[in-house]
Amino acid sequence: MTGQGAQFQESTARRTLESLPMSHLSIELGHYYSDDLDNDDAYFDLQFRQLGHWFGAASAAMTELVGRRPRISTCFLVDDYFTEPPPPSVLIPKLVSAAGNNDIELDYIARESSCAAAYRNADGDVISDSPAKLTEAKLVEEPPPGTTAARPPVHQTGWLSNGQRSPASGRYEAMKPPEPWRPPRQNVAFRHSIFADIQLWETANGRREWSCAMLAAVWQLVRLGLLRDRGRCVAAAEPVPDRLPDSWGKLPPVVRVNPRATPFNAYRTLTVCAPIFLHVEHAVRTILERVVVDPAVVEEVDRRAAAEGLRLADSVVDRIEYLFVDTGPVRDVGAG
Amino acid sequence: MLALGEVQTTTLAHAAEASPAVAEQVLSLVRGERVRTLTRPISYAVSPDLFVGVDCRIPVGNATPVRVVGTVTGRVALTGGRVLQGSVGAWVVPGPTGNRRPWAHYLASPGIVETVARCTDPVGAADAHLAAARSSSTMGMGVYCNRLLAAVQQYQDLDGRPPFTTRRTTLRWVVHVDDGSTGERVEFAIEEDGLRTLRLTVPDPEHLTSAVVREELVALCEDVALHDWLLTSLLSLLERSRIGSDHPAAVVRRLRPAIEHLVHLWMPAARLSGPALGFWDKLERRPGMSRQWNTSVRRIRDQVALSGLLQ
Repeated sequence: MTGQGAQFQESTARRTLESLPMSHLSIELGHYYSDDLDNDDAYFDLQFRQLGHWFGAASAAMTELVGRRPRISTCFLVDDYFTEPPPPSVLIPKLVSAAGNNDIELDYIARESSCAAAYRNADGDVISDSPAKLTEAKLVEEPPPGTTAARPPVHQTGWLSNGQRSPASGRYEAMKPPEPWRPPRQNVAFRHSIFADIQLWETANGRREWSCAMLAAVWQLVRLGLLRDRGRCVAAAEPVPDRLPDSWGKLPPVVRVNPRATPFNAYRTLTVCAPIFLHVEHAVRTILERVVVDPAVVEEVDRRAAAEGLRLADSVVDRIEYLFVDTGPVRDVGAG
Repeated sequence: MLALGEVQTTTLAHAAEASPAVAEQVLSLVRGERVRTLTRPISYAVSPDLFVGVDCRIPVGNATPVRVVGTVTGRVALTGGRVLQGSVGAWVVPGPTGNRRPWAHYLASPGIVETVARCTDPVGAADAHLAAARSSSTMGMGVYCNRLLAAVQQYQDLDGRPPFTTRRTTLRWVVHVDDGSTGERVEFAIEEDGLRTLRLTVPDPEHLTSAVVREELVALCEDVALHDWLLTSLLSLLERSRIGSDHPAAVVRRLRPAIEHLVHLWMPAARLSGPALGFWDKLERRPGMSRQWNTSVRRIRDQVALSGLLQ
C-alpha cells in the first residue's frame, strides 16, 4: 500500500506465491493400467517406440511456437492408488531403459497417490495438503439458466455434470400420470447436447476414494504448476534416490530420473495415450472447466510466459492438449 | 463498466474480541487459501475470495431485464476482532450478444458477469440495484451474503453471545461511469430498516481499468459500511441509554458496551490509499460521519465524568 511518500506493509497481508521453474511443455508418455505395468521389457520397448514418433512432432511444433529450442520435459504417472504396481526398484529401471533405447529422455516419474493424499515428511508432518482436496475446494459449478447467487445449482455430492440432469424418475403420485422422461441437457450445447455426469469420488466404510477422472484432472493442474497450498508449491520434483525403495509410498510425489531434465512444471501440457482413455480425458476437461484457479497464480505464470514470448490461453483447459494414438496394446486393447 | 455489490455488517457472535488467531480460524473458508491479516493501524482479517456461478436477469429501470452470466464473488472480513462484514459483488461487462459461452471462459475472469444481450443503460441497472426491495437483492446477492456470514457465525469456537444487541445493516453499492460529470461523485443515502445505499461515479471509464483501483473502490464501500454501522450502533446505544432523563450512573452502565467495544474502532480510510481517499473526503463533508461520531463520543465521556462527579 502506498500513501503520500510512505510505504507500510505487513507480511501476513501479502499474498506470497512460490514461483516455480517452468518448462514450455510437459509431455506425458502414455497412460497405463496396473496390469500393463507388469509386462516385460519388450512391451515397454514397443510403447516407447510408438511414442517416439509423436515426441518428435510435438518438439517441432513447440520449436516453431517458441522460436528457439524449447524446454520440454517428459513424465510418466504410475497408478499406485487403485492397485499395487511392480515396486520402484523393478519398474523404474525398466521404464528408463525402454525410453533410452528409443531415443526418448524419460525425465520424471510420479505416483498417482500423491494427487490424492497430503504429502508428509519423515515425522508425519504435513508438508502440503491433498491436491485433490485443494482442487475440490476450487470447484465452481456451472449454473443452469435462471440461477442466482441466492440459489446455487442443485449439487449432488461427489458428482459433477455439464448440464441439467433428468428429473428423478420413479416417483408416482396417486391419481396422477407418471412424469414423462426428460433427457438431461448440456448447459452450453452446440446445436445438440452431449451430457456428462462425472463421479468425482465414492465414500465406502467412511473412507473417500477419488475417481480416476478426478485424479487425472488434479494431475493436469499439478503439471501446469497452478495448484498452491497457501501459496506454496504442491508435489515438487525431487531427485531420484540412489537406492530405489521397494514401495512407491517411500518415494516423493515426483522423482527426477534424468538429472539433465528441464523443469517438471510447464506452461502447457501434452498427453500422448491410447484412444481407450478418451472418455477419462473428456471427464478431466469437464472437471477443469469448472475449477477456478487462483487468479494471482495464473497471472504470475502468464506474465513469465509472456516474458518468454509465449502467450497462454485464458482458460486453463486450453493449455492442455492430447494425442489419442495407438501406442501398442493397453489392457489388451489396440492394434499393437 | 459497472459494479454492483452489497455489504452486510454486524457484530461477531462472540463475547470477547477475537484474537488474530481466532480470526484466522473463523475466516478460513477456502481450503488451501490464506486468510490475510493486518494489525495496523487497526486489526483486520479477510477471508479468501469465494465464487458462485449465476445465469440470471438483472433489472434495468423500465427496460427489459438483462441476462447476465458469470461469477459473483464474496468474502468475509473482521475488523478490530469485533465487526464482521460479508461483502459480495460483481463487475458487469458487455459479453457477446446472443449466446452464453462455455463455462471455462467465465471462470477465467472470476468476479465478473457478462451481459448476454446488449445493456444500453448501465445507469438504469445501477438505479434498479439501489432501489431494489429490502428482501430482494440483484442476482440474489443478499442471500449469498447472508449465507457467508452464517457460515462464519456458526464456527464452533464462537460462544454466540455478543456483548450487546445491534442490528445488522445492509449497504447496497454501485460504481459506474457518468460521462456528463466533471469529477468523481459520491451519493450516500440512509433508507429504512437498516438499509443504506452508496453510489460512486467516475467521469472516465479509464479510471476503472486498473484492477488495483477496482479493488480499492470495493474496499471503500466496505469501509463506509463499517463506519456507518459503528455510528448507527453508537446512536442506537445512546438512544436506549435514556441519556438526559435518567441518573448518569445508570446511563453510563447502559453505555458501557459502546465504551468498551466500539469507541476505539473509528478509523475512516485506515487501509485505503490514493484512489478512494477522495471519495471519503467528500463523504466527510456531507453527511460528515466523523463529526457526528466525535460529538457522540464526547457526549458519552461527559456522562461518564458527570456520573463520577455526582457520586
